[in-house]
Amino acid sequence: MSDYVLMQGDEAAALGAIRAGCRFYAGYPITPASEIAEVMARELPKVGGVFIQMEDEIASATSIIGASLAGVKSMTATSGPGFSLMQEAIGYAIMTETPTVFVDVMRGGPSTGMPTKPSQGDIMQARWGTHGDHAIIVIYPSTVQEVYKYMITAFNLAEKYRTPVVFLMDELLGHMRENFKFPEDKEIFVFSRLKEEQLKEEEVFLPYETEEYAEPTPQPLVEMGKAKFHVSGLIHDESGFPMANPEIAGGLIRRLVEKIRLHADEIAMYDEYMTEDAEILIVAYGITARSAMRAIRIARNDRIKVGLFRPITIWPVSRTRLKQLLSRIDALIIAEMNLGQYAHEILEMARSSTKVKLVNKVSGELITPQEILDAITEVQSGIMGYY
Amino acid sequence: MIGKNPIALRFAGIGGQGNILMGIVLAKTLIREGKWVVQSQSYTAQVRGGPSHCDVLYSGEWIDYPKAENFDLLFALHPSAVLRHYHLLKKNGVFFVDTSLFSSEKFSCDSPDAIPKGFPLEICRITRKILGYPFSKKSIELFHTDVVANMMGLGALVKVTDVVPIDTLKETVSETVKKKYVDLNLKAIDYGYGVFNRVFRLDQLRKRRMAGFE
Repeated sequence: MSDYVLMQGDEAAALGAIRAGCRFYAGYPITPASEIAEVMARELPKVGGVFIQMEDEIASATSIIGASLAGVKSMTATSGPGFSLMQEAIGYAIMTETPTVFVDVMRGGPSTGMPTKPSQGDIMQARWGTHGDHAIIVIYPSTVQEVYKYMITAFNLAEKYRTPVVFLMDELLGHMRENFKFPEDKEIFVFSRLKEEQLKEEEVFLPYETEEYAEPTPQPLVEMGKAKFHVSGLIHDESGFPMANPEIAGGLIRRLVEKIRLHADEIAMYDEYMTEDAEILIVAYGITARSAMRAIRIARNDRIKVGLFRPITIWPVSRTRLKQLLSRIDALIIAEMNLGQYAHEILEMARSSTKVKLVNKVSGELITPQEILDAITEVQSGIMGYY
Repeated sequence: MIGKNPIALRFAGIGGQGNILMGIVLAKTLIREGKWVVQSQSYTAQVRGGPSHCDVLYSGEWIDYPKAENFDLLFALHPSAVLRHYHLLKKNGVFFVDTSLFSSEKFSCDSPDAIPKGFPLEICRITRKILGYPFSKKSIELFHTDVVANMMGLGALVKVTDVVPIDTLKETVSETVKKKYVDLNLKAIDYGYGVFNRVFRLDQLRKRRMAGFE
């Protein structure tokens, strides 16, 4: 009898969110994210939370912003088509610095695409889906255990940096079940909001006041309570009221970007597999990274020195560590289930002498270990494909 | 250095037969036995009658790649599933077939007549470990419903392959299934357990290959 239970990816996402303190869920059902809503509808009322099925994804996204401002941690979950509709609201959450978590269980696109087939097509949409200059945090787990763990991290980061966090999952990861162990309480850290008592009665509560300009850290939001403040999608000053002053406008937009950029090394999470002596580096994320691990295991058996860099926060990626790795490898393989959306980010950092091979697939099937192995063999034998 | 690839089983049929539940129950039981498991499924928008299948992979260590290209065991609950999936079976893999909708209840390689019309004789070149039984028909006969045909099949599978102890399977079923259906399901498992007498262990299917024969 083991400590493990059989857990589905979507189920782990919902339970992780509740563990992180999420008490409001608004959503509209869509394959392959419906199971998250199902579990939330069943579990949230048990812990005093609220579940609402909204009329569409736009309303879901805006209502979780409202709920978060009112004082409860909140989230929604959808898939590619719904995620497109939520983009305007994500921009609003960025501008109003509202902590929210948007789960996107990706399916094949564009449009309705392939509802029950996996794809990694929303990488760029997660980063640049909404208009205007902005920064965003995007987390992308690879296993069911990680879904639970990083869902808690997603809520913590959202609260700490007062920003929407996008949580990407693969259709396969959302629907598959595997071994899962509930982490012990001491392994979990949950970020909590300011208590009402912590506010000074004689002082006006300025929700958009930051500690210092050099490394802006926004102050946490207040728990459900009496703290009233103005919220606007327009350019605003620290009190939240609209202000079209060029100095304030420039300062605000820069601060919204800098608060994540300057803390990128703190936020960024990654995983490495056999990179100590690697001459060939594979960059892969999500479920594709698991194919890469199998391929590396086989290649290492043939004494090919190959390793894996797996970004867990794909935005922002740990540039410091990636640059270190890229400076000492001969060949780079980037594997993703799209036509090269993430490759730009990585290639920007690679030396021009590095051989590059892209492994892309958009057929609704996983990239197999064999396909990555073929790429390894190709760069290893010097026959290289041109980017 | 190179670990063993996980053992892979596929349950294939049409939507509504319960082949995904079969996979989930087996996966849960395997976890109780201390195994690492990945269970994934495929289905279409057609909830009833559309092609669907469920894969269960298990191993003694963590499973990296969550899919399998070939299977050690294939359980076809419907004639259409036989045609769709038989070529994915590994050489000498175990092949269970629900023969309820076939012209003959036998499905074996003993004589050409025992392979129902329309099915490729190629199956016999992949494996001779074919176990045909009219699970759905028998389920209707005994329990007046075909919903437990899948549990009957699971009982038979556990007897033949010995992947998990029958008692652990029953415990899992008692916890997974709705209370008022537990008895029915357990009876079905017991019946299925007595259907076959042969034993084909899945971990002994693999042949050791020579070095360099990768």
